Amino acid sequence: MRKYPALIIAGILFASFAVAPYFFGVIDYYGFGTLFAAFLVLGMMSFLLKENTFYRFIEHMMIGVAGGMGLYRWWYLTMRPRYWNVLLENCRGEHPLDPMFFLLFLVPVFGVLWYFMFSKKHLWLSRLIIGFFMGLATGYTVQQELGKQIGQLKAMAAPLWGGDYFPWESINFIIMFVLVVLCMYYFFFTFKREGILQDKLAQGGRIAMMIGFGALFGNTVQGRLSWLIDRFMFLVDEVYRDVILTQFFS
Amino acid sequence: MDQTGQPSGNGGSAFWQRMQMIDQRVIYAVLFVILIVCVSLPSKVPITPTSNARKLYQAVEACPDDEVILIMSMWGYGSQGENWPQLEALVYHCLIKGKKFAMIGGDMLTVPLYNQIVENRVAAFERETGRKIVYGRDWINLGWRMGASGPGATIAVTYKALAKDIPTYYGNRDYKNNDLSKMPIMSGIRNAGDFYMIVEISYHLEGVYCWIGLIKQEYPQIRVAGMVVAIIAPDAYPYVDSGQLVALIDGYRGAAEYEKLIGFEKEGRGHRQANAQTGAHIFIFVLLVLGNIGYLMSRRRR
Repeated sequence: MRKYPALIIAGILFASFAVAPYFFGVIDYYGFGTLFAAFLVLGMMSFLLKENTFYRFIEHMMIGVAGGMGLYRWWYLTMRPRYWNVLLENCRGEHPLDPMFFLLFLVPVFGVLWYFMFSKKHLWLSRLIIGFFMGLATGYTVQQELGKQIGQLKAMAAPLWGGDYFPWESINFIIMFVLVVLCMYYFFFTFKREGILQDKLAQGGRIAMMIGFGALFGNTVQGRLSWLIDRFMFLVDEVYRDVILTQFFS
Repeated sequence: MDQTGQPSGNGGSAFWQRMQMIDQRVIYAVLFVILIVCVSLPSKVPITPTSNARKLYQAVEACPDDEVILIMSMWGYGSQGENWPQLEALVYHCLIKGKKFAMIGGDMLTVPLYNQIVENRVAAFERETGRKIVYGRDWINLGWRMGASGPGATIAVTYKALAKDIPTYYGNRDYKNNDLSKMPIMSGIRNAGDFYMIVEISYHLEGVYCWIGLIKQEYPQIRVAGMVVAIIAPDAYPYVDSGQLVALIDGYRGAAEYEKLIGFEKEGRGHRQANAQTGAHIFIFVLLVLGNIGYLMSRRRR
């Protein structure tokens, strides 16, 4: 008992503020669910004070729920409608026979190949399927990168000044062009850098990258705060206004 | 500092040393109070729309009434702080301008969430304007199929299949199990090239990269816009400059700018966040200044 004080206190609080009012009809099912969610949010935030049992309990609960949902998703939304049912329907002759149907029998064979990585003797079999997926991924990645980077190269090859640009856009473009050259120079290791000019150019590339990292970090702080603020909006709007004010004190 | 780690020396020096090591629990507690107060107050922070928000606004405005905008909702509960206001603002814009839109989900858990957001928004719009929005004619939710979320190659395979033949990929059924061939909005839509514009609302850039890197090679005419979380937005900005992306909405700020353009400030969640973001940023800035002054003062006294 002395080992789990946080869990016991949380349980008593939850029973007092959510279970009992729901049981006695003070709050409805939505109110109960909202209060339960609020307890989970506050429990997760309790980690900021220090690692505690309440937080651990909620963390494990989340992992369990995620695992359960994953299994549900795998079977009910994918394997059953897209594999098992199709297999059964075709075997029963409910559809005209499609020659591609026989490929479905290969799916478990490919699937089983992954498990040979646990066998020292037949390890090479698992490499077949790993190689297959590596090839697939590489093919798509190369195609995707080409599509992305050719667009970038085309944009960089545009005239620096004039054309349809507004003057400000041209200035923007010149800055971008200079920074691209500096960054590329920083990563150019084919020859040894000698002299002040070459050092300064490389330093310019480093400064340009640091500005980029700064922008990235600033956006990261903003993004993380947004996710936190969303939880506070939940606590103020749904928990306090919709449940505590509306249902407890109505 | 003495051997026990406590600030030492005279009062002034100890004070500045303490400024450099404020207990993190005190910082969290103050942040907690600031955020609760800021979220409770009505937003007064002025928002000025930038060119990115304007570009998306103009692209949606230019969409002909008989064309459809595809909204890829590739986000979950984790990033709803940023993606929810983005989606809500875009849906509101489509509704007030009478633009048709189709929704696709990125995850099993996301579909009920965004479906509820859109249905609530549609219901509120009908109450406010008296106009009737018909499911299947004005908007549709295609739902989710396995593969839309996962590692890079899985997403690429999915997007390829999705872009090639949308009704087949969805088994000719929508989220509510309706027959797609009987939905007026889907008449004339077979692949990604049949949409006027594709808006990817996401917490990662894999989807955006698939559209601009893979699918645009097959359908060069498609317009792609991104509404992404702030953390990954800087990586996507070069694609706006190059014209590969029509526009990029960056986190809550981009959503707030978009809300301003469409007159959705009062209800918009992006605007509601502005207060709290400002309060939290000021607090972080004050902490940075205090820490640095403390460092400089304690070094000078030494």
